[in-house]
Amino acid sequence: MRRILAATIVVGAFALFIALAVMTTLRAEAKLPTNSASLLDMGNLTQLRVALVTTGGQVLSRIPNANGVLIQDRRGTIRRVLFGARTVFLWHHTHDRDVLVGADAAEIGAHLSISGLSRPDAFLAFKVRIQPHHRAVGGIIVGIAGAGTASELLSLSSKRGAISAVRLMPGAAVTLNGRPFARPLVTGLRITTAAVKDPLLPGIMRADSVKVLQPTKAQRVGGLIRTIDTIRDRITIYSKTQNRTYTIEVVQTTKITLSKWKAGYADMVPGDHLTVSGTPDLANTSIGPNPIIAKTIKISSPTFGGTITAIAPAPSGGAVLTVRARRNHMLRIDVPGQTPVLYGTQAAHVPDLFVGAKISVRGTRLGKFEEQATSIRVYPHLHTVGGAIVALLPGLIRITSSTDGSTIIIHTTPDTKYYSNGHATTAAAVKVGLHARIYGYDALRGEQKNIPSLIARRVSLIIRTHTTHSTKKKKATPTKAARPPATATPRAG
Amino acid sequence: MSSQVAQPASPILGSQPRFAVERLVSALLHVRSVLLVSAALIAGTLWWCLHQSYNVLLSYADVPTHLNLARRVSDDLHPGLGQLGAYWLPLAHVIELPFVWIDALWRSGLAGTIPSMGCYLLSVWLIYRLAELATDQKMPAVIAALAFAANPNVLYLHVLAMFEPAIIASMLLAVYLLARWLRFGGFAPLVGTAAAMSVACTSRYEIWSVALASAPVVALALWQQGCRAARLRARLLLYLLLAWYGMALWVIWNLSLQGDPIYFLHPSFNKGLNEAALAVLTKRQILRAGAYVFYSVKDNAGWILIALGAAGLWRFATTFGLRARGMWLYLLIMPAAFDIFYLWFKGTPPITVPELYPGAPGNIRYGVVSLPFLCLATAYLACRPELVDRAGAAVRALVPLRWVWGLGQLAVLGAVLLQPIKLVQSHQVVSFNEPNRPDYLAQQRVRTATGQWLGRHYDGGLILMSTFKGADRIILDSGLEDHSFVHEGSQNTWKCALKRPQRWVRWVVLYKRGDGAVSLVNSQSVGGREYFRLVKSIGGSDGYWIFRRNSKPWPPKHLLHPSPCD
Repeated sequence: MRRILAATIVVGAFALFIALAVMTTLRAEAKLPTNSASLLDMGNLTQLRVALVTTGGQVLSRIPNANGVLIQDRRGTIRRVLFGARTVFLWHHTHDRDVLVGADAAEIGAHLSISGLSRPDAFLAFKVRIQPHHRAVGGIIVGIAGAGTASELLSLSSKRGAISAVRLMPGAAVTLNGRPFARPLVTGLRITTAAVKDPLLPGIMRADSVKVLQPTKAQRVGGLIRTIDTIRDRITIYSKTQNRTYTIEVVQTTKITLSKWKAGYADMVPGDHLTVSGTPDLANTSIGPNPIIAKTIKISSPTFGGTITAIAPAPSGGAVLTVRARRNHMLRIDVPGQTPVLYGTQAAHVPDLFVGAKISVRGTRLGKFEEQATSIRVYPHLHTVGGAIVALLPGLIRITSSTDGSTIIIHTTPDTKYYSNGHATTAAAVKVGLHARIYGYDALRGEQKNIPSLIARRVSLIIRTHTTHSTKKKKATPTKAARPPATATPRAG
Repeated sequence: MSSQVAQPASPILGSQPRFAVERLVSALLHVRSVLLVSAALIAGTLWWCLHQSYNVLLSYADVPTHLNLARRVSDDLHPGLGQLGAYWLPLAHVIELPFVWIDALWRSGLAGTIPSMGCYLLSVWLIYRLAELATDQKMPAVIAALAFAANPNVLYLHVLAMFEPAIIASMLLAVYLLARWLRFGGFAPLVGTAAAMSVACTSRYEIWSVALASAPVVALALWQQGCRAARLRARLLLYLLLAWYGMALWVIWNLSLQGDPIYFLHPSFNKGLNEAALAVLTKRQILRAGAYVFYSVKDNAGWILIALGAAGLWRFATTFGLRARGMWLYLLIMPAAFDIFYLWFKGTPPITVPELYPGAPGNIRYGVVSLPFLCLATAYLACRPELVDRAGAAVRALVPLRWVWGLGQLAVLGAVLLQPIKLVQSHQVVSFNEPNRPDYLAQQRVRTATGQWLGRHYDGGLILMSTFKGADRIILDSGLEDHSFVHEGSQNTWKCALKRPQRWVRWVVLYKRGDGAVSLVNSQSVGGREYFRLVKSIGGSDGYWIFRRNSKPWPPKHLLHPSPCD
C-alpha cells in the first residue's frame, strides 16, 4: 500500500509539474495581446518579449488621419504600422546612436526597424529604430562657418538657387573622384553630399560624406596659346569661338603631341593652336580661369610655308630650304632636284628659288618641322610700277619707268584686267604714249635677262583730258572734271 | 509375455482446433510477426515517400548535411575522419559511411534511409524484448512494439538520414542490456551495457543524460545485489569508465579538432542563426521549458499514448518502487528531462510547437525520442497481473478474468493503433509537417534550382560555398562531386579562399541573407565584381547569387607582400 501511495505521489508530482507547466504557458500565451488594440494591455516584460515580433522596411508614406506609416519590406510587402502614445522612436545615425526623437523623424524614405505586435490589419509598434533617409544635397559652396573645426557648416546654393545648410559630421569622407580630397573646402566649389535631416536641429542636414564634383567626362577645348608657364606647368589658351580663356594644367600623365610625334613645350610658341582634352579641375579654380587638367594636348601642325631664309645645295640639283614659318617656327624643306616649282602662274625650277621668296610646300612630312617637298609654290612679290608706254607688242607692253627712266617689259595674260581712269576697259585702250600704272609681280628672268619684267595683273591707264570749262566752273565741279564719263575718252582721244 | 505398446492417445474432439488457435496466437505474438509487420510498415512508408512529386527523403534541411558529412570522409578536398565535425555527434554519420560511397544512394538520400530503417527494426525488436523482459508476457510486448512501429512520426523519421533513428536504437540497446543485467546480473552483461552506453553517447547529447543517470542506477543495483565497499566501487568504476568513454572521447575530439574541449556547447556558426532570438521563449523558465517539451512529446505520440503511458508509469512505479530492477524504464525519460533542462539553461535550439508558438514549427521531432518510454509504460499497463492468474487458479469462477483481461489488452492494442490513424487523418504528423510546409519547401526548391543550374553550367574549378543554412542540398542536387566544393570544413583552403577567392576558386555561391561567406558580399573581388562576375541570381531575397571568375589575371604584379594564401 505504501508503495502504491509513493508511486502515486511521484507520478502525480510529475503529472502535476507537466500540468502546471502547460497551464501556465497556455495562460500566458492566451494573455498575449495579439488582438489587443493597445500596447498598454501588455502583460509582464517576459511575455512582452515573447510576443514582440520584429519587422522592418522603408517608409512609403504616412497614413492619413492616423498616427502611422506605410512601410515596404525587402520582399515588397507593404504593411501598415501604427504608432501608439508610448511608442519609442530611436534615431540612429553614425555618431548618434539611439537618439530619442519624435514620430516626425520617421520620414518618407527612412528605414524603420520595428518591434511590436503583429495584427492582421496593422503592426502595432512598440519600439521603432529609425535609420534616416540619406538624400543627395548638392550645390556650390557659398558660405562656410566654422571652417577647420570638427563640424563645418556649409551653405550650398543649388542650381535653382535654393540655399541649404549642411553640417559636415566629424570624420565625414571628402572625396574627389573616389579619392580623398586633402585640400580644404572653399567657396565656389561644387559638391554633393549624402545627408540626413538632423532631428535635433531642424533645417540643418547632416552630411556623412562629401563628394567634390569633378566632372569625369572629358572636355575638349581648342584655342591659341596666350602664355606658357613652364615653371608651374600651365598654359593659357584662348578660344575665339567660345570667347573664353582656359588654364591648362600639364601633369605628368599629360601627352603632348604634334601630329604623330611626341612634343613638348619647345614645340609650341604663343600663337600656336592647341587642342586640349581633359577634365575640368573645379577644385582648383584659384589658379586661373577655367582650369583643365590636360590628358592630351595636340599642337596644331605649323603651315609648311613661309619665307625662305637660307638655301643649301643638295645632291642632284636639289636644295635644302630653311624657311621661317608664320609664327617663327624654323622649317626644313628637302627639295629634290626635279621638284616642280610654280612661280605665281609660271612653271619654274628649283634653282629659281631664292632667299626671301615666300613659298608654300606640299610633300611628305618627315618630322615635326621637316618635310620633303613634292611641289613648291612661290608667291612672287606684288608691286606697282608706272611709266609711259613706249611700245606695244602682242602680250607685251614696254614702258619707261617714271621713276628712273628704265625700261620695264610688262607681260599681259588673259587674266590681266584693264582700267582707264578707274573704269574697266579692254586691251584695245592701251596706246603708246599713255601713262600706265601696272600692278603685278616680277617675271622670271627670261630671254631679256637684263631687262626687268613684270607679269601684269592690272593695267591702269591714266588719260589726261583737255577741258574747255572755265576755272570757276572747274572749281565748282572738280569731281566731274577729274572723272569724266567713259564716253568722253574716245572723244578726247 | 505380452507386451503392451503404448498407443497414441486418440484425438479429443475440439482439442485440435484449440491447439491450432493457440499456435496461431502464439505465432502472431511472436517477435518475428511483429518485425514482419514493422518491416511492411517501414517499406510502405518508403514506397510512399518515393512516389511523391518531390524528394521527401531530403525534405529536412539537415538531411543533406548529414549525408555530406559522412560523404566527406572519403570525398572532399581534405578527406578524413575530421570531416565528421565537432558539433554533431558522429554515430549517425558513421553508420551511413558504407552507403554514402555509392553516388546514387548518396544523392537520393537512400544512403541515410537504409541505416535508419535498420535502426527502426532494431528499435522495434528491442522494445518488444524490453516489454517482454518487464512483463514476461508477449501481448504487452506486441502492444509496445506496435505502438512504436505504427507511429507515423516514427515511420517518417526512420526513412530519413536524421539523428533520431540512431539515438533511439542505441539508447534502447543500452537500456535493454542494462535491464537484462539488472534482472539477471553477471559481470559480462555489465561490461556489455557500459559499452553500449558508450556507443549511445555518440549519437546525441540527450543520451549523455541517460549515461549520467545510469550511474546511480548501477550503484543501487550493485548495492541491492549485495556488493559492498571495494567490490561495489570497482564494478561501478569499471562501468563508468566504459560507459562514459564515449563522452570523454568526444571532449578529446573537440579539443584536438577545434582546440576547445567544449566547442560543441558554443559552435562558431551558431552566432548567425535566428534561433538565438527564440531562446527567450524558454530560457530560465522551467515551466515553459517543461510545457514546450511536453507538447513536443504529445504532438509526436498523441493524447491516447500519453494517457496510457502515464497510467502505465503509475502502475510500473507501484510495482517496482525504488527497486533497481525497474529503474531502466526511468532512464528512457531522461532525454525529455534533458531537453527541459537545456531549454531552461540555454533556450536553443528551440522547440517551437504550434500550440504555444504560433510561428513556424521547429524541432518538434525531438519528442519522438520519448516514444519508447510511453510505449513500454503502456505495455506495462496492459500486463496481466499475477493476481489474476492466482485468483483463477484458486477460484475456478474467476478463470474468465483472464479472458476479460485479454479483452482489455486487445482494447489497449486497438487504442494504440487507433492513435496513428487519428494522427494521419487529422494531418497532425508533425515530423512530416515541419519540413513539408510551403515556405520550407520553397526554400528547398530554391536550393534545388541553384544546384541544378550550377550542375548545368559548371565548367571546372573549385566552388566556394558556405554549407550553413541548408546549402548542402545544393551539392546533392548539382550532381557535382563533394571535392569540388570549398566549404567550412575545407580547413585552410576555406580561410584562404575567403581571403582571396580570385586565387583559389572559380565559382562563388553566396546566400543572399548571409551565411559563412557573407564577408564576400561586400568584398571588392566578388561583391565589387573585380575578379568575379555575377552570372546568376536565383530566388528572391532568400535565394543565392552565383559568381564566376572573370579573366583578370592573378596575382597582380604590384603585389609586393604576398600572404601565405597567395
